[in-house]
Order: sequence, then C-alpha cells, then structure tokens
Amino acid sequence: MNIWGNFDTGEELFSGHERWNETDFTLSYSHELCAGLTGTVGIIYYSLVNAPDDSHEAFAGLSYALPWFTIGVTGYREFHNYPGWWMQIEIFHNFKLPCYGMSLDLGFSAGYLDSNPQGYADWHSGQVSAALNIPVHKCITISPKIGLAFPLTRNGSDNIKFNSWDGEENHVCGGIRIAASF
Amino acid sequence: MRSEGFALFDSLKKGFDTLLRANGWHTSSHYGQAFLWRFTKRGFWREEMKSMFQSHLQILLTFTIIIFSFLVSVSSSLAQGEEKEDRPTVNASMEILSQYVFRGVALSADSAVIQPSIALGCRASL
Repeated sequence: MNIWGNFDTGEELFSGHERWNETDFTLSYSHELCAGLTGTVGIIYYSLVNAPDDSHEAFAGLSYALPWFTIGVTGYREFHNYPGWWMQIEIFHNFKLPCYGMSLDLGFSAGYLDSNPQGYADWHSGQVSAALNIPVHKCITISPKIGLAFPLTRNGSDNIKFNSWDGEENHVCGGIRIAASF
Repeated sequence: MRSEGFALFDSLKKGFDTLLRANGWHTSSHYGQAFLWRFTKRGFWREEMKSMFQSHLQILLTFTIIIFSFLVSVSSSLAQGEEKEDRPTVNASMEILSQYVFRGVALSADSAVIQPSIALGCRASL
C-alpha cells in the first residue's frame, strides 16, 4: 500500500493555486511466479485537484530479472473518468559501486498511450533516468537523480506539448530523493 | 538570573548580527527573513523559497502519517519478535525535484515540487 503526494512550490497556472494538487493511493500485490519472473497487480486512485474528476486505474505487469538488467512490461487501464490504456516497457539495472555501499540506478522506459477522451493512440513518450544511491545510515539513503523525458513520435510530441503546463515536449527533471526503509 | 539570561541572549544576537553583516547578509530580527532576503537578492528561487516556508496543513498531515506509521510498524514488529523476513516493511521517501513529469507530460511549470511517499508492505503466504 502506497500513499504519494505532490506539493508544487509555485503553482500559478490554475485559479485556486492549490500547491498540494495530487494525492495517489496505490494498492498492489506482487508474486514471484517462477525464478526471476515477478507478476504485479494493483489499483491506483488519483486524487487530482486541478482536473475535473479524479482518476482510477487498474494495472498488471510482469518483470523478469536477467543477469545484466531487469525488463518489465506493465499495462494500466483507466476505468472511470478518462478511459484509456497506458502500456509501459521498462529496462533498468542497479549497479553496485565499490565504495561506501553506493549503487547506481540506470533505467529506460517507453510508453504507449491509447486515450479515448483525447482520441489518441500511438507511442507516446520515453524516459531515461539515473540515480546515485548513497547510504548515509543503516536504513536511510540519499539519491541525487536526473531524468530526461522525450516524445517517441510526432503525435506524441504534439500531445505532450498540448498537455504540458510549460508547453514543451522535452523535459529534464532532476533533484534529490531521501528514503528510509525499515 | 532572568536578566543574566537576557544579557547572554542579547550578546549572542549582537554577535550573530555582526557575523551576518560581515558576510553581506541583510539582518533583521527574524533570521528566517534574513535567509529569504539572501536568496531574494540573488534572485534565486524567489517564489519557491517563500512558498516552502509557508505552513501547509496537508504537509503536516503527511509527516504525521509517516511518523505514526513508522512507530506503529517498528513497535509492533519488535514486540512480536517476528522473523525479519516476515516483518511488515515501511518505506518512506521524499523527493525534491525541479519539475513534476508524469508519463512525459510536465505537470508543473517553473516551480520545484516536493513529493513525499510512504509504502507499507507485508509478506503474504499463498
């Protein structure tokens, strides 16, 4: 079970200027089907302040751990207010580094969007990302991270520019993640 | 004793003011404002820094949930003396990012975002 939220430090686009503008609730179940192959199913409820309605998704995915990387495919189905599919393929790997227990996450993902309300069905966007995991305590890790999201097709570019708040098609996103695991 | 305490406080405050002025900081009675003024002079994340200092009920609520969940999980695990593999897990995280990008689409513009998260997990035998 996961609860996730987004706090925008300078939201000026919408009239309400709600800085806490999204809260997601995820309930999922993972099971190792056989050696290296894991299946996951779940549902997500998106509480969206700036959208006309909230969103509900069900998802199912498979991931397989190969010696050098893990590959996964997940399908998300919006079943309430914005019916459509989001299919995502991802490849990622965690490289152990030889100092201070650090590790490096590298990942690539590509998504296919089939959205009924938008009349869109095509490959949409890809993302490459990297994160350096630095353990600072037995159960606390700090991870500087950076990612680049980009359109995969011309249709994807138009769709991303139309829906993005900044009107751009490519987005570089960086920051830091502080995580505690118990 | 009370007056000695105030004298010590005044002495420390004057020393701190001198230190701030020596480093080019605008000083005021509120050092949080001085901190903001420093960034404002540089034009660095002006609006972001202001908003980050604003109190927000949902943020406080989220932190409360995170801390409460952690305490409940750890205490219950320790009390029951379960095997490590069978203990419930708690993963709390917070990301501070330059932009919120969801499936290629930017859902913030010219503003940093803070994204707290908490995940509770348990092992189920089927």
